[in-house]
Amino acid sequence: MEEDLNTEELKNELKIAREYIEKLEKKNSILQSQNNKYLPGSSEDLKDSVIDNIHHPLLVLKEDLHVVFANKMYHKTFGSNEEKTKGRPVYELEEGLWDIPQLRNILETILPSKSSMSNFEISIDSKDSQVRYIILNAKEIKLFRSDEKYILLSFEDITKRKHAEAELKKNEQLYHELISSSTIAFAIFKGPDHVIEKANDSMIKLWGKGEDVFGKTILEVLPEVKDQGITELLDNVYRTGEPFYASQLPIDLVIDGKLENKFFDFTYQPQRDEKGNIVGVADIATDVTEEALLNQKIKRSEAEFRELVNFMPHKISLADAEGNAVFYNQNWLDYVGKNLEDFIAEPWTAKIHPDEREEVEKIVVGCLATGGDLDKDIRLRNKDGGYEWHICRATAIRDENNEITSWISSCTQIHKIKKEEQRKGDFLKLVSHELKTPVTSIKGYVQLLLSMLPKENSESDKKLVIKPYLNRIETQVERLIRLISEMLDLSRIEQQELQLKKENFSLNEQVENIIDDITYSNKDVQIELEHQCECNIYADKDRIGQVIINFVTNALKYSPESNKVQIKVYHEQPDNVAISVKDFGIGIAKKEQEKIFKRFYRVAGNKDDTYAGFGIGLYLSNEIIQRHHGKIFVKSDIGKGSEFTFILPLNHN
Amino acid sequence: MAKILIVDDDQTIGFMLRDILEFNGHEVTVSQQPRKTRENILENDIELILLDKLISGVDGTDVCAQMKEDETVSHVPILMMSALHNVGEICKSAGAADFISKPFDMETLIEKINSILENHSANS
Repeated sequence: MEEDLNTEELKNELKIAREYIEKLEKKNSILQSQNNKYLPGSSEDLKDSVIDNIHHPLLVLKEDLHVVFANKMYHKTFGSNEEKTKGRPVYELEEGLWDIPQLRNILETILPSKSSMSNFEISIDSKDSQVRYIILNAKEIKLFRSDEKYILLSFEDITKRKHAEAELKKNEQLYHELISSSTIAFAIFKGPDHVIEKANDSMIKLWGKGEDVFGKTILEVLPEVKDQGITELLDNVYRTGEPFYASQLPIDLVIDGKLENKFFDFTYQPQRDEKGNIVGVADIATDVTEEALLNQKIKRSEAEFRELVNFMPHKISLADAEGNAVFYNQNWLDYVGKNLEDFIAEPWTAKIHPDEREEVEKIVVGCLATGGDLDKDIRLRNKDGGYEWHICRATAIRDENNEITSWISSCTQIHKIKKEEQRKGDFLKLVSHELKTPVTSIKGYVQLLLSMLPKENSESDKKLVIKPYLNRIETQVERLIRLISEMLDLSRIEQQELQLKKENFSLNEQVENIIDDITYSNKDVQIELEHQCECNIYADKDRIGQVIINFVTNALKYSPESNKVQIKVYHEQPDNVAISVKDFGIGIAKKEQEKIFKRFYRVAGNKDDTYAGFGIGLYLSNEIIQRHHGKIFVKSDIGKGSEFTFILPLNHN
Repeated sequence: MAKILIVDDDQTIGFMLRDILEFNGHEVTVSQQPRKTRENILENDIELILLDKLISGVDGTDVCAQMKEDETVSHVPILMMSALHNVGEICKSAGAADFISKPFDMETLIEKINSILENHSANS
């Protein structure tokens, strides 16, 4: 520092410098908080404590631009020291760092005429070859009682701020691009009249009124929303500051001159200034018309199905994958006299008649485990405590991965049908029983007459030919008796009254007896019997006999060209016994073979051939064998004949 | 040859049975009144009864059991008959000597009657 420099005056000038610096610092928000120290008032240590404590690099130059003084911050910032600066021309400092045309212009041209120069931004290449941005402030200082001029030169490194600004600008641009290119519509309305200040392309497109929207109020652009409550919503957000969220809100908009029903998800968010006052409303919107229409369609469709399900006379219910009920239709609820909530809370199996409950629960567990269908006649308790027959069905609904997602079930009231069936069964039983009486009488008289005829035919008897006629009557009566029995058995099976009377007997003897009976009245049939094994079984002798008779009479009936029948008794497996009856008749087509064990099914013959019978013989046989836990099946070729077989287990109780 | 009582509410069946049995040399009484069975046995010195299981609402097995409980008539064997073919066991447990289901073969009927009569005379 120069000896003759009046400290008082310097102090004064430094005050001015400080003001400059403070002004700069205020502008620089980054540095604002860091530098609030006051300069000390003492005059002795001005250099050390005042100037050195100034946070910005500072040079004091003489008029000839030689350095009088550089503060600590200068040395620190530019990696210099007092030795390298004091008394040196400013352009020589820092290896000519300041020898740039801009500074020369300031110091040599502008300053002499204007005496101060503020906030002049320059860029310099620093030692580490990075561009640094510096703000210069220069001021001429004239001391009292002296013509000597000094120049105060302060530097402010704003490189960081510059970089931050550049970053900010980049971000801002990105943000703008983002908003304008976003499919989400965005707009900002300013002021109480909601003047459109900003709107991205999506919003402009969404409004459908063209690009010329800025500076206009929302009602000017969208007059059609006037009575749709939109401005009221905006007013409210603007007034209260409470944001508004809309989901699939219907708004009718005129798009390209045509009124369209649109749906939007949107948010109205208040916009505030730095003091927190509401200045506008931001609008972020998505056109969800398609989604909303789809939703409407789904809802309508769901409502229709619900109506349908409730309208149906059946009891419909839905259950989850584990079988827990989630829905019952109105018919179900009416039947049990409960509301949905209460009925869902209890297991539906509680409504099943105790006689069937255990079995049904077992079946349901099986269905849930295997995913198989349920199909069962069940009695269900109604709200009055009475039980009514229902046919109950359930089937699994699966997703695309074949996983069960839910179960749908229907119960159809068949109580009346069941009652009718019962009556029909009772009637059939009555009819067949009543028919038996006259038939018994006819049979008795025919046999009496036959027994009255002389045993050995004399010549005169041959002329009478009574015996063959009586034989024919007897055969037909036998047939009538068989038909009546079948009818009776059928109604027994349907009413689950077919009872087995099991006993031990020889199957071989049983077959032989039956063949004897058949050949006794049909002299011209040729039955070959082969016993491959001797077998005693525990079964209903009459019923098994019935099956064998049915097989043999069928074999004869459907073999118009041949009277040969082959019967075999054998072990199909060591623990069972089989009887097969083979004929060489018309045979059965493949597609018919499954059906022939069904009730009333009769194989249609070729042309107009008809075969007598009710078509229940094989159905009965099937029932009988099933009840014995056996198997019944047929092998057949059209034109070659059929082979009917049944297999009975030997170790079954 | 034996004295046989037929108890059946259907007259035709009764007559048919009478005709068959008379042709086979038996002496036959036909009754449609099951409640008069005991009376009929004693009156006609009956040796065998052919008893229907269901006679005008009366259960033949009850009649059979009553006869078997009554010492004055319990010695007369009873052959029960029914249009139901699986009630033989019930009839036998009521005391019937045998059972025959309707409609039947005449031969079987005659065999059964002869067999009962033979057994009965052998036992008495």
